[in-house]
Amino acid sequence: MTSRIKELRARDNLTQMDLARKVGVRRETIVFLEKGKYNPSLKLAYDIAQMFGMKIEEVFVF
Amino acid sequence: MQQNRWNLRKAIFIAVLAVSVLVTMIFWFFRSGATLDFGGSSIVIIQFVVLAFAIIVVFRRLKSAKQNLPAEDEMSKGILRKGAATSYYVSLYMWLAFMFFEDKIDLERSTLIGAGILGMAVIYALSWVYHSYIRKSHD
Repeated sequence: MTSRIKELRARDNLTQMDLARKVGVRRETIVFLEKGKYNPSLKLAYDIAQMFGMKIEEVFVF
Repeated sequence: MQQNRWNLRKAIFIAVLAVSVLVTMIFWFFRSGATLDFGGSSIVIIQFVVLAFAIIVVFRRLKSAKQNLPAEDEMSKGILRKGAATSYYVSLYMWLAFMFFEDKIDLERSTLIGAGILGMAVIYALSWVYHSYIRKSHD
């Protein structure tokens, strides 16, 4: 699974730390998500998608 | 804010525990009259590895509290679970080896059990390091 988190973060001018704070996870989790090395839970995927005002399938590509 | 305070309290608790272990360890070492031969020094080294692990945990928690981030999240909890599962599996083989070589190891039974418990702690620390930093994927 890949994600568009890095691209969307750049669009919204957010750092990894900002995004981590907003969705309540550690910065390392965002790093691994961006590298495609961690598959998030449904809740985290939903929170991240909500954060960017998008649907889960628009942020995470299966 | 509430979460941060909890993180801080947990970090302080772990730090106090680590210092107590260190003090007890030094006290025990001098009280028992143990010498720094191969057996004695390896036990001291293992205890320091376990303490170093506790210090790393405290440092990570304090850093997270400072950055206003949670000390644990779903990924780090997953790593803890995987680390625990791996260390349990490896520890079983360690105890089997201990039982097999019991006659050949020149240690008292209580010392052997103590060494086994310390060994389990080291195995857990190593498997946590493996799952955190060496394994390529956290799925």
